[in-house]
Amino acid sequence: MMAIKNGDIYLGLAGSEVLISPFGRKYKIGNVEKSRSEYTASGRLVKDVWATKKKITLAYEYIDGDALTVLIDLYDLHEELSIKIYSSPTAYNAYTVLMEPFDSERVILQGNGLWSGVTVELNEV
Amino acid sequence: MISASTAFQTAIKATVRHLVPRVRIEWTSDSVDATIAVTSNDDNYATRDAQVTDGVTTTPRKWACLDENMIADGTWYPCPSSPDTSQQGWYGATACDNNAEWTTTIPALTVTFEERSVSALLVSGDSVYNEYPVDFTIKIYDVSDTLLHTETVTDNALLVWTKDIASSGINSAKKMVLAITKWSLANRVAKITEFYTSIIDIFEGDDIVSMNLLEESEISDGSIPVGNISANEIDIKLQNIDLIKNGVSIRDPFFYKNTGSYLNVLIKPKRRVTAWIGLVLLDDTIEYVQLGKFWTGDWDASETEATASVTCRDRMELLKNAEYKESVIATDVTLYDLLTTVLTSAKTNIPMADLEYTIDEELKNYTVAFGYFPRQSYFKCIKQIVEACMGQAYMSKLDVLTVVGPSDAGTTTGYAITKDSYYNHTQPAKSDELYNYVSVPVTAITEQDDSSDVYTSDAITLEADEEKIIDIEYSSYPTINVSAALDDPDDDTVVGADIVIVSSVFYSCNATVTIKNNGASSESCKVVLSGTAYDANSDTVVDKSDAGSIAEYGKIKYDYTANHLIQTNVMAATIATTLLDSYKTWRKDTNIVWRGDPCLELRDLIQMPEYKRFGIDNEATFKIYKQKTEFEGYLKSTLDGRKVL
Repeated sequence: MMAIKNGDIYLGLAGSEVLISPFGRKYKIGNVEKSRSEYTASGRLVKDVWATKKKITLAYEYIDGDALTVLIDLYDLHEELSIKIYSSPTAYNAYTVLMEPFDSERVILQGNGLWSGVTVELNEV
Repeated sequence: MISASTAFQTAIKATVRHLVPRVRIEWTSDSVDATIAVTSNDDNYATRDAQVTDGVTTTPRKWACLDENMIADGTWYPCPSSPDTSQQGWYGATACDNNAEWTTTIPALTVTFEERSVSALLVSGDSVYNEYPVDFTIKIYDVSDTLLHTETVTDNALLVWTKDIASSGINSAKKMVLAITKWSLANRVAKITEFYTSIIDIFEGDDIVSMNLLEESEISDGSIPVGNISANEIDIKLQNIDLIKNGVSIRDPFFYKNTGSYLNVLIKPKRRVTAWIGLVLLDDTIEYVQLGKFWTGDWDASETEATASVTCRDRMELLKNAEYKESVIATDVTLYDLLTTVLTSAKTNIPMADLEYTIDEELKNYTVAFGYFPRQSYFKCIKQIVEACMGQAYMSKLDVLTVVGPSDAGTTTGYAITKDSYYNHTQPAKSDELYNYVSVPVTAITEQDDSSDVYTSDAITLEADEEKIIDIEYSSYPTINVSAALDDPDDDTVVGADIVIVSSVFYSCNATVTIKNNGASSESCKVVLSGTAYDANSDTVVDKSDAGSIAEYGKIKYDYTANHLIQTNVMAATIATTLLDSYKTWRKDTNIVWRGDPCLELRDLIQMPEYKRFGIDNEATFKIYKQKTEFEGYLKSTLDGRKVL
């Protein structure tokens, strides 16, 4: 197994996570709030919140065929996945996520191919 | 109002609230499985076998047991006898030998129950004696008596022995047998306090999709809301994707016929459900408020929605389905005492030992000459009592049957609902509840004659040595001084000489008579019951009207339901006058849709604006008679209240 580096992202079934290609990858993490807001009779805005979940986006301007296959295989599992985002070789944040379907556009046919426009969205369960 | 901490009261009114639901479902326990039966091949003279399934693993005292070890040192107590319900459990009859072993009679305890899964085993010895089984086997059988599992235990040294057998995948158990071969002390009898594992699941957070609770102390059916009684109802929707149990993920847990789920055989009506709404407080702890205890109706699992839903009703529904048949006539009895008799019977005879109730002292002001009930549901008995005094009955959120009289002023809370917390407020005019002419029937109970036949059976033939129990409803009731006799089965045959009445129990409207043929061949007879019968006629009616209201709105008549407990003109007139005073003008109700507070209960008084605009500021107090609580991650409540004048 390769040495884990700061910024590495591992994704897969819990306990079987694999390194996701870092080349050309943009990483974004944000919160999705499950809530309901409503104005009362006095005009006061009130809100009930029942969950705050992470939304993680991995976007590739270009990705090679092998790295894309890893992502497609993970999506095809249609299972809860575990994602580990390393901030140092020993420290990471882990979430259980579901992967949304994604598109890919072929740029180069030869070899394993080169693809663009791949944006993988992962929603915390 | 349910009490909650100051932190909860602050958090429930905060601009941003974090709510957490919780549902506890008892799939199997002695309180939800009416089929549980316990038998033994070795019962002591004093034993309480049924207690081995009640979930209690400790005994309060060292019960005296004549196994030659007892000495008069003041530490032993006589075994409990009825009505003392102290915990004892199963006491065997045969003492083990000097090696603490049984070799001839192996004491065995058998528990049968509804078909269920078994994921854990439990055997508990006697906590006061500190005695327990050392070597024993547990065998689990299915409905066809096929052996599913054998657990052999040797050298146990635990007072309470347990084992997780979830991995065995037993989903269709019907019977468990415990056979003990070695005890912890020589020359002692077996003493087992518990040999049954309840299956209870707690669902929280994401597992709960929604909960909708409807509480009402009055039924909105266009009738006058007095003498009302109804069951509160909760709709619960759970996610049906997967359930983690003992670390194992179970797919589609709530589908019937999913044999991979231990719930497969447990998703049934009458499972006990307790629901709560919790609130995350400032210190990140969660405080829960109970919404009530309920019993499941039919389950419904949806494949496309990936949810399972169930509608549950409170204890009133159980009282609707249980029959009260032990009523004897009580003369000059108060409605308070009559209701106490009914509820005491419910606790003992349904049985519903955990039934808690509170009865308004005001019911002591209502006395009836003849207090009795025909054979009917407990629910109907309660309903007739509250109708006769214009009271109300409902189950509180803490599962207490609450009966209040007509003067009930509600529960003062000082709770204010302001424009800051409600979304909408309406003032419904309820023309369908305006009445200015009220008729209340009076039931006259008169004696028919000194003695009359109230039941004659068809010819009954009993085979040699056959015994028959006959459940009888009198042709005329109520009846007192009832006696049973045997008569010729027909004109040509005389009553069988060997047939005897073994026992008979007489109530006001029904009886149970047991007859037996002690002869060597079949014989016939008829059973005849005689007694002093009464007629209950509702021919007299007391009318009250309000001329002013009739002049304004026209005559709108209300016929009060005939009730055999309204037996005097005075009682009927009181009811008619009270109703007329309350309903001859428009009702002054309020309906608000607001953020909700799970602490509020029926009959709580709330303060809220009646009209607060353009410089006019009218506030009023309302008594809650209906509450609809909606939880779907957020909390919202629709509340109906009646203005307190």
